[in-house]
Amino acid sequence: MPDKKDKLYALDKEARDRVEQAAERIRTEISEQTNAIERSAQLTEDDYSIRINARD
Amino acid sequence: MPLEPFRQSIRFVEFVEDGFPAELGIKAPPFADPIKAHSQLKYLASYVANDQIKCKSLLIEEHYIDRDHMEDHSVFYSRNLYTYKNYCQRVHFFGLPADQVEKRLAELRDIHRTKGPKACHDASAALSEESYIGFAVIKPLQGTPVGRTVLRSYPAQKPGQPTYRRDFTCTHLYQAHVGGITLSVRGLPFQQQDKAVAACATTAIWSALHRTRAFEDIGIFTPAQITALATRASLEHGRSMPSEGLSADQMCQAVQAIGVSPILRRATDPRAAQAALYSSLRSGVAPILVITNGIDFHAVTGVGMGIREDREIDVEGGIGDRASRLEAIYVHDDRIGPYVRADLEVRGGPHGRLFLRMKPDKSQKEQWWSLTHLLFPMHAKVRVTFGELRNAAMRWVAARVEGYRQELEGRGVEEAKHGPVEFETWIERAQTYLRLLLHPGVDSDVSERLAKEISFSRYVGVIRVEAPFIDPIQVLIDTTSTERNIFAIAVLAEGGTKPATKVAAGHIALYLDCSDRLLLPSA
Repeated sequence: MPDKKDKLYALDKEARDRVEQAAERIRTEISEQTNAIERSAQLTEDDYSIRINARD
Repeated sequence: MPLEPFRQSIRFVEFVEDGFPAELGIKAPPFADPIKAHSQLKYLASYVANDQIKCKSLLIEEHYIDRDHMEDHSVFYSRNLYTYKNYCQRVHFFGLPADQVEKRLAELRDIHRTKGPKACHDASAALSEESYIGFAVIKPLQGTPVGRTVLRSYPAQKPGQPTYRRDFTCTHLYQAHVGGITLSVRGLPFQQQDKAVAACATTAIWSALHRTRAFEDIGIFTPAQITALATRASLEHGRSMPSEGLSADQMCQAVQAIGVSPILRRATDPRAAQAALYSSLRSGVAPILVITNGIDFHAVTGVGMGIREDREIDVEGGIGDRASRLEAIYVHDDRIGPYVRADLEVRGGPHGRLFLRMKPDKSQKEQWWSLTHLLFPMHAKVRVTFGELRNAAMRWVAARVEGYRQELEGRGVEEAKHGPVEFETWIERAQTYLRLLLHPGVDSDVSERLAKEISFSRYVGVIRVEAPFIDPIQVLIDTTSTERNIFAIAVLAEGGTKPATKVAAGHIALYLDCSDRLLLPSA
């Protein structure tokens, strides 16, 4: 029954919209964390001036 | 004054771990603690003596001209009152007894005489594979003798740990010419800091850029040249030589001057830092890690990774990052030695930092270093960063696959009930990527069409997604594009064993404007 099986997995316009809505919900969840990471990762002058000089 | 005569002398000796410095004629310098002196040399001896490397003998060349030392000598040591030699020793490590090494090398020369260069080349490669562990240049500096050292890395499997896999992605094949024979070893150069022409920052750049040279035609550079390039524009922390360390800015200046783009990132978020480390190592780009113990800042070079396959993966929104299976990394630490294992641990709660736990020697205490920054030496045309590629993977690829999984789960599809959707990202030279795709796990129609129909950027960004209900799907990213204008080169499915694969890949391709570059298995 290939047709029936194909239909089970297929995405019509409405199903695509549902998939995109679910993806958007996930993006929103991820974004909060991602934005916080990006803000905290901004480089400043202090980052460039740290002295790297550990001795053995 | 008569010229000092010099001649080559090659010795074959059995390897004895405790007697290694003495065999090389090295004694502790008068103004150094004899226990602490030569710790890197002792580490080398313990590394090659390890059960997984099994060194049995040494071949010692008494007269070896090393480019790095010659340069260091010309800009620094030649101006000392004390007369330092401008040549070094070179010691080669073998997994065979000394008499057998001597015999095998003589046989190789005989093969060249009687059967020609190709037969000799093949036989030399076989000997290298069987028993050549690598070499170390021993500089005529009593206090800091370990020069350019290329050693074979640990094997992928660790005895008794079937789920732990080591992958030394930043190593490549090096050749050493000994007595007319060419031997080869896969590794990444290491050397110790001498605190004269190079401190840890210089040495970390030197190791990392040796890896870059494996896939880009950048100039040859020595530690002295790196320090000079780093301090050409500013002397933030004191004079250039003797080296008093470098700032992160000076490190970037040196990398840029050599013709490579320095990408500096703050490692504030432990998960993002771990992901960037994974992607970099997965890409074969040796990252420079800036770490601190709360007092000093230090720089080491990443060489490989340790993946724990059964480690629980970090999942967020149904999406799992394969980078969270990264249990340890292996670093060249010029204070300790090559291929030092550093376990990764998050300390300090949910807003903590990523720490490296190192225990170089059973007799030493654990060392904890917090990762503060990552410096990636990248080709200038790679504009997409590892972080941006990861964000694109999570938000625009994995999120859609997870959305589709939820849709199928709602329809009662049994295999879609299980997750997570797992992703990984890396950046690779297009030619290398295409070759790596030529394996039985990837449908031959897909790899053929990819080779014939798709235009690639010099480096390709790869987003790979897998889940129990689909065959792995890859989205290829043009790395010359920028974060706000990312261009998808192609979407492909590695196989077609599961019916959901084609639909998922097609859906992703549709929304990435890539439907005409969607490569699916034909059957």
